[in-house]
Amino acid sequence: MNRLLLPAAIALTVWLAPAMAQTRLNSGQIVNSLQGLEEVPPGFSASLLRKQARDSLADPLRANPNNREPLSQQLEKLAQITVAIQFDFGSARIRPQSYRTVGLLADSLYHPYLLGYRFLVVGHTDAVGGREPNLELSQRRADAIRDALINPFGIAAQRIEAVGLGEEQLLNRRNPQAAENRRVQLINIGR
Amino acid sequence: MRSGLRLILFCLVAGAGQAEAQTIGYAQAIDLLAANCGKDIATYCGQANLGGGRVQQCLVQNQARISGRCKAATVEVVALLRKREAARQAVLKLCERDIGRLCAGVVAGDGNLLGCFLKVEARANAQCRQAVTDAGYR
Repeated sequence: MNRLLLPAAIALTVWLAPAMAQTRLNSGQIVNSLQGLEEVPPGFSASLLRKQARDSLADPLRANPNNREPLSQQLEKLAQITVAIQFDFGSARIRPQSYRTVGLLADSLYHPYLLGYRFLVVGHTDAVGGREPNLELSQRRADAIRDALINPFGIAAQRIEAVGLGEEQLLNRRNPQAAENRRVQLINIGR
Repeated sequence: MRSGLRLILFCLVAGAGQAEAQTIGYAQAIDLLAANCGKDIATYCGQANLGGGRVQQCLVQNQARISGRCKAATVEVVALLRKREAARQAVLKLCERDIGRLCAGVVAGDGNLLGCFLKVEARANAQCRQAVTDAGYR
């Protein structure tokens, strides 16, 4: 039985390996996604985004998450990659299962195609819980990713900024509680 | 027997690719550490944050208690990461002549030279190409 299974297992592994390599995110794909063709608009900055998110909380027209237009249309046009990173519940501690993803982002940022560029880490939550706590938590989580990129992964601190947008820029407004709203964007913000 | 089989499978899968890098990046480093230190990290550093290098600090603080397997993996990972860093430092030198030939006129800085060169490096010398692989630039 074993004699039959072993070659079969080997054949299967060799067969599956290229397919698996395609589906698992690699740094080459990230490098490609992060190479910017779109011009970063003048005045675009992390602090402006933070202010827009604060103002959004106070805007009565944005109270209903189903009708909440994206805070920044510009943000979606820039070269970027979206990843899911798992955190402990209600905390900014990155779960060990997501260390690899953060390491992969770091590997990409070392590539010569991206070396001259600065990047924005943008954290988003779903619309479960309060808007204000979500905004605050997403900022701490974005900061945690930035911290990890800097140490242990050695990316220069001046290349990375972090902004949390809470639930102010939902990906799926029809279903504000959907898991896909919880996401992290890494965005090329130019030289 | 099981680990023997896994080794065979690993060699087969790895051997199927092209010239492999003799270094690793951070994602692979995490894979190796997860496989060999996962239990130790969960036991001793379950609350440590990745940022600020605190997981590493915690492993160092608990080195008297962590498994030999994890210690060995840590040493290996550090060596492989250093080797990648060394390859990055060496690329420009090893590829100098080819870069001069293939990327004449490109202004140095912000990875410009390497950025140009990586698009045409298939025409470079073998030693240079190995350094490009080891630097993780493919």
